[in-house]
Order: sequence, then structure tokens, then C-alpha cells
Amino acid sequence: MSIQILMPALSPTMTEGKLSKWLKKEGDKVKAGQAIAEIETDKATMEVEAVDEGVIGKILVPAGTEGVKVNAPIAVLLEEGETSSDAIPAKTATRPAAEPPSISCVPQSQTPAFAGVAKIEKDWTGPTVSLTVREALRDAMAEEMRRDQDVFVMGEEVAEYQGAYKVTQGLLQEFGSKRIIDTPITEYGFAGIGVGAAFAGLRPVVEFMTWNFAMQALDQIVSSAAKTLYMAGGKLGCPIVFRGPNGPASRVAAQHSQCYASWYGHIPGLKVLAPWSSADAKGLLKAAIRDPNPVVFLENEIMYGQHFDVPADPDFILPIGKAKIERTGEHVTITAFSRMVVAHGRRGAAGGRQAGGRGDQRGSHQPPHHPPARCRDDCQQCEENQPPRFRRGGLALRRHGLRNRHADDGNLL
Amino acid sequence: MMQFYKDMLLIRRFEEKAGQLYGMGLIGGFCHLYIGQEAVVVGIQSALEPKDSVITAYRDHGHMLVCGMSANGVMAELTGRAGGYSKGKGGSMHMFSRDKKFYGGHGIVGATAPLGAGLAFAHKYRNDGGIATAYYGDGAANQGQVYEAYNMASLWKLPIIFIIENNGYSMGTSLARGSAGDFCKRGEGYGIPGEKVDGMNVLAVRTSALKAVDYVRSGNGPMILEVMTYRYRGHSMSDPAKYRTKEEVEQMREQHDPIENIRKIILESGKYKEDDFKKADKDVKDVVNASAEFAQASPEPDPSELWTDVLVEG
Ligand SMILES: Cc1ncc(C[n+]2csc(CCOP(=O)(O)OP(=O)(O)O)c2C)c(N)n1
Ligand SMILES: [Mg+2]
Repeated sequence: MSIQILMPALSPTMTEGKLSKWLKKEGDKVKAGQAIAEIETDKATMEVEAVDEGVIGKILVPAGTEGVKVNAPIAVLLEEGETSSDAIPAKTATRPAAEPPSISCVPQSQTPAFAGVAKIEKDWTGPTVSLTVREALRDAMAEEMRRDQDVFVMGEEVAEYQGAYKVTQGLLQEFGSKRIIDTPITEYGFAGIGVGAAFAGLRPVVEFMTWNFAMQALDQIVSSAAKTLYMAGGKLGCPIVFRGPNGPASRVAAQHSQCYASWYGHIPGLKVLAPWSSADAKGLLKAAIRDPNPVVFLENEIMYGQHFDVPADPDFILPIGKAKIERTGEHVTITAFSRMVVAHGRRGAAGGRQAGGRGDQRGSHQPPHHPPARCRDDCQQCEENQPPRFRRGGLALRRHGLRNRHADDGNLL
Repeated sequence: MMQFYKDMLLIRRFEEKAGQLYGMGLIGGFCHLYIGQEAVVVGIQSALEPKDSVITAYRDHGHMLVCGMSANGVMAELTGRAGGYSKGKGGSMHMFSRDKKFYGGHGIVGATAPLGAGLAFAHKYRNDGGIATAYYGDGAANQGQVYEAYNMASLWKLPIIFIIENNGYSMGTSLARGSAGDFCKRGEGYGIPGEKVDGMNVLAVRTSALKAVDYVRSGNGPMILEVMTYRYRGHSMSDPAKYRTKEEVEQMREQHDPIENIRKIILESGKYKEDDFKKADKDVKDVVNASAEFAQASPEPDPSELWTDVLVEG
């Protein structure tokens, strides 16, 4: 019986990728473990290996295709003796999204359609563009750098490598190595250099590869950046942004999974932001760069690849310290920030966008569509919703791992 | 040279007065006196220009005065008054003056190396011809972040002089017990030249500083000066300094005092007479006394100040 080869996730947070090259052609025999294609993710180019032996019956996604969703069938593997006419997939791995089921405590009339893209900021009603969170962050930095010569970006792999998570993609090409600066792996040191430069009036954007590593720089962030203004009686401030991915990604273990919102939220002198959508990411990062205070900007790796509509207005910017009501309702208020605003991608709950400055977290929000610990039946990540013969090219992905992740998300809500 | 004498004397008298006020309970918290080390900052700063930036740790009153900050404002800050440079909210260790390009005043041992490299980064970024000087102690020079700063400063050819004020002790830990090798050589692996300087001789400090400034300002990258000095007093006001002998301190005071040294040299040059010194002494005393009066007349900060300057508002 023919087997579908599915687009594999090659990093814990990959949602889609480019199928850059087929290493086998239709009719070729393959053995388990043999490389059959090359895939570019947001982080690297990697090879897809065959999980089974057989003959490549049909290539469903041609080389060079971008934005191939994880789990989409990319080829059909035939058993010896089968013909390619057997290769027409009987059932695809993806299913059309169903309407969200209604739950009784949310009046139907007030339930927004969450299957589509998230709503944009209410105050920005003009035309919008669809951007990933990653692009939104990059655009925010680029726009601020065009606007203010004092803004520069420094961090590990931000320039030549184009960002460990590709958030700074293209910035080196536009702004050059004077303003997009690769640092050695010395968080404490380059955080200190950033703070010193901010004392001198520049506006550094310091990227931490992830916030987990900023623990080494905690002293400069807290003792130097946050406290100097007060100790100087207001005479010397520190206009700096520290940014990077925060919180759990996926299956990367405890050292790489910490959320620092509460830690930094308890430091007087810091503003702490944790945006959710692309619009929030862009509007708030621009505001953070313009802010005269040190800002801790907590991104979420899992959100980087997600698309949202963002106001196209070049002046689009959001106020810091004001929560956004994603959905109004009558019964319960649910407050959340970052990815928890809408766990499971864009389904589920609503919420605010920031852990507020001075340690408060504000927001006013509504219950999720479905009980948080249970997934809807169109959820792609649930075992129950997968076709019976589920194969991914080369990756033996343990389904219960993903299920656990769901349960965690539910608990967090 | 007479100016060096006056500058050093101002620091010494100012610190002695601070010691008195501390004893009277007018200064609280930590207070680290610079007595004995005056030639370091006076010699170095004499080689700088107004566009150059300065940053140091908590033994900082001397640096502020030499940078041109007012004795009144510094003393009022020491006494925690509203008229102090930081409105009484920084105290002895934390004062700043953007005007004078003095960036503190920092309490974390070692932090001034990367912070200083950041100031140097800003000079280079703006291409304004300025350089930065970052001061820290022999104890601080063992911190890892200092070497992170060396690496990046050298990589990026930042215009900075790293100045180690080696006074032989970090609190109660002598060099022999805390530091391996020579500080001036610790830049070698990073390609940063270093020099050991007699920090009890202001002219020697100046000579080395001029060379270092020239090297750094010409775009060669950072340089390290290890300036050998000595603090006469304890680490801070509460330190009885039992870790060293009285004789050791006496010997330094008697034979190596930087102020006596320059005084002798000036007198021998014949340019100035005893009377000139008397006049200088009196001028300095007046400035210091006035600062103590100003400080005591200045009100304590209003309790509402606890809630201001946490963030820049608006
Ligand atoms: C990171 C850190 N650790 C410890 C201290 C406490 N402390 C303050 S001063 C000091 C000694 C530093 O000696 P040194 O660098 O030689 O400077 P000196 O006091 O001799 O001027 C210590 C341990 C501190 N302020 N910061
Ligand atoms: Mg010392």
C-alpha cells in the first residue's frame, strides 16, 4: 500500500518550510534513512530522510516550493510492484478547518470567527498587510533604524547569520555592519556594552538568542540598566531594548524553556512587554525602541512563523502599558500575555498583550471557545485527528509528546 | 604642576571632611575614601579632553571632582540631601553628570569595564573623536565581564583605556591572595597592550596616560594601564583594615605620598614659594568647608521622591 511522505518539522517550532531540492526523482528506489529531499527551515537547511523503503511514486510538491506546511504530503512512496496510479492520495493529512464549536457561556452573536486571521488593532482601521510575527519584529527594527540614526542592533548571530531565528533577516544588508553587530557569545559583556552605549545616548536593541541566556546578563540589566535612573535622581537614563524569544518553545528541556515575564516584571525601572500578534509585536517594538526607559521585550518562538494582519500605516505604533481587549463578553475576564492570549495558534482564548511596566499585568478578556485542556476535533496536532497511517519523512515524531504539549497549554490557560 | 597639586589636595581634603561628616553621622551607608590614590585620577584626567567620557566604580569622589563636578553637589549627595547630584537618591557611590561626561559611580565590582566599552562604542559610532576611560580596582579586574569587554573592545577597536587602580587590596584580600599574574599583561591574549605605572607619582601617571590616549585616539583599539597605588584608609568607613600592618601604611604615607611628592618637585623647580602653597591650601580648604556647609543646609529629600525617577514618565 502506498505511503504518504509528509512535510516534516525539522525544528521544534517549525510550522512551514521551503522544499528546496529533491534528491530523488519519481521512480527512484529508496531505503529507509536515505536522504530524499532538502528542506529550508527558518533556522537551517536540512535533509529529509525516507522512513521506509520503496519507490518514489509521485512527487506532490515540486522543488523550490516555499511555505510548505508541516504535515502536508510532499510525495508518495510505493511498495515494490505498485504503480503510480495507486499513488493518488486517498486522504490528505490536512483537513479543512471546521467552524469553531459554540459553547453555551458565549453568546453566539458575540463570538468572533477565530478560524481566520486575528483582528487588528481597533484604532488602526486602514489597510492591512499580512505579516508573520518574525517579519513584524524585523520591520519594526528596520523602520526605527531608518527614522533614528542612533538605533543599532547587537547580539549573537544577528548580522551575517541573519539571526538565530531569522528575526534580523536582511538588516545587515540594509544597514551595514556598523549598525547590525555580531557579538561573541558573551551575554554579560555585550549587555554591559549596550547599557554603556545607552548611557551615552545611543538606542541599542540588544538581542538575546533566547532569554534563557540573558541570565548571564541579569546583573547588567537589573543593576545597571534598570536602577541607574533612580540612583541618578533622574539625570542619567538608559534607553535600551533587550529582546529575544522567551518562554517554552517545544521539547527543548528546562534550560531552554523558561519564561522570565514574572522575573523582570518585578524589577522597578524596567518596562516589560510580551506581545502576541504581529501587530502587537510591531507596534510595541517600535514603541519600545522610542521609549526612554530600558525595555525588556519578551517574544515567543512558537509565534514567530504565524501570520496576522498588521496596519499598513507607516506611523502605526502602539501605546505601552495599555492592554488590548481581544474579545468582549459578559461572564469572565481572562487576562493573558504573549502566546497564551490565544493558545493553540489562533483558536481558543482571548487576552491582552503585555505584562505591564512596573510589574503589573493588565488585560480584560474572555473565555476560550472550548475547554482549554481539550482540543477541538479539527486540531492538527492531536493524535485523534491524524489519519491512521501517519508518516513523516524521516522523523519519528512521538505523538504523545505533542499531546502532552497540549495538556500543558491547557494548564497554562 | 601646581594644578596637579591643587587637584590632589582638593580630593584629599574633601575626603578627610567626608570622613569627619561620616563620623558625625551625617553621611550614612557606604563611603569609600580615595585618600592615597589621588595621583591616579589626576594624572590620567590631565591627559584627556572635555569630549572624553569617564566611568568608575564606587571609590569615586575624586573622579567627580577632577571631572569638574562641584564639591557642593558631591558632598550634598554624600549626606543624602536633596541638593546632591542625585537628589540624595544615589549616595556616595552613584553620581552622574552628562555635562562633564562622567557616567558614574557604580556599585557592582567589574561592571565598569563593559559599561566603559559601551561609552567607547558610542564615541566610535558617532565618530566624534572622543575616547572613554574605565576605572576599576584590582579586585574587580578578576571579574569575567572585564575579559568579555577586553575581547569585544579589541575586536571592534573601541577607543578605551582600561585603568586598573591597583591599591593592593580588594577589601581584605591582598593581591597575593586573590590575583594571579600581572594585570597589565592580562590583555595580551586579546592583543591589548598594557603598561604598569607608578601611581604615587602624578607625573609618571600623566606621561603614561598621554601615550595611552594617543594610542587609543589614533584608532588602534584599547589599552590597559595598571596603576600601582595605595589606599591609606580602610576599604570603607567601617573597615578597621586589620589585614595589613600599621608599618606598611606608615611607610607608604611617609615615603610615597603623591601630594608630598609633587610639592617637593614644584618647590625644587623654584617656580612657586611656600606662600603659594599656603594660598592653595587655603583655597582648597574654603571649597571643602563650603561644601560641608552647603550639604548640611540642604534639606533631606521629600519622601515622595521614593516614587519618582523609577521610569522616565511621558
Ligand atoms: C559583584 C560584586 N561583588 C562584590 C561586591 C562587594 N565589594 C565591594 S568593593 C569590593 C572590593 C573590590 O576591590 P577592588 O576592585 O580592588 O577596588 P578597591 O575597593 O580596592 O578600590 C567588594 C568585594 C560588589 N560590590 N560587587
Ligand atoms: Mg583594590
